[in-house]
Amino acid sequence: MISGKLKILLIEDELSDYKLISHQINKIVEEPILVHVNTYTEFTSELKKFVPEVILCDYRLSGFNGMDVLNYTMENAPGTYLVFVTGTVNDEEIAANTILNGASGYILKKHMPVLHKKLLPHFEEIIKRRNKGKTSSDQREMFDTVQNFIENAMKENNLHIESYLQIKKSLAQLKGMKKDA
Amino acid sequence: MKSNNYVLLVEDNPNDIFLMRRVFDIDLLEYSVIVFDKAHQAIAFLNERKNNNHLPNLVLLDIKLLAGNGFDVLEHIKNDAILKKIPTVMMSSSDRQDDKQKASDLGCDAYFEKLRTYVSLKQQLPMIIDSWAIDYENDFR
Repeated sequence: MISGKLKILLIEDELSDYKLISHQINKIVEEPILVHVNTYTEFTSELKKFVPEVILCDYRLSGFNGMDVLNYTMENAPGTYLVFVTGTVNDEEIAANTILNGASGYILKKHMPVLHKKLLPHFEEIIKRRNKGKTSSDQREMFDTVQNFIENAMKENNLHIESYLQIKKSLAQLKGMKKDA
Repeated sequence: MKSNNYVLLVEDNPNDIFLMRRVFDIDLLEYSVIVFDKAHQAIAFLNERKNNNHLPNLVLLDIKLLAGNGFDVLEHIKNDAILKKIPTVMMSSSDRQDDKQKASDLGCDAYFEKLRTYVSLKQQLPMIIDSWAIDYENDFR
């Protein structure tokens, strides 16, 4: 069982499956912070905004698929824990490909009645990583903070440079005025 | 031996009640089943069990009942701060989209069209119960 909070991004376009998955999550996580999306645009936006610790993703979605999600995540939020929860039964090739490409797990929807039991080891692994050090979501938040700091510092530097150039220009003007006098 | 776990079945069709009881007796031994065929009886029972702190692990609702309907019961459950945590599943012979939508709007956790044969009921009902029943001792919610 997972005490405390866990940030979960759930990508699922079937409302009934979303309800059931969220019910199963509630069984094992004390305070799940669950964001549900069903389009690719919502996914990319929430990945940046919400910064999940784990992504649970259906494989076959309308307009995009699990591999799109996996590739985008690997590129933009590497290290984020990603588990496919899918009805794509017995497709060993898809399962193997997703794992080889960096997915953390693959659960078939036929196991839905015991989904919470299948998810628990993954969630425990995330907590273990969280306790060992920083999770990828923490790292990305830190990265964003440092990046913002650098950008602000650069803006301030630019302001200083502008002020310096302004002073230099004024001095040159003064110098010119002195010479004329 | 039955545990304290039980499912509240709100259903008025005697044949469906008989078949469901049979599945519970054979395949869902860890659950008892308590049946009401009128909405107000089911609501009164839930209120009493709320006071005794012995809620059902799941409510199975039909829409059509002898008095009132399944939506009355659903609405009562989902508007009550304590009862609303009980997973509530509708099983109805209605395949009307507006019934499904109404159930969803009222907070129904899942909606299934009634299973038409005993074989499909025997296969599906345990899956529905396993998927949705709450375990008050071990689940967070």
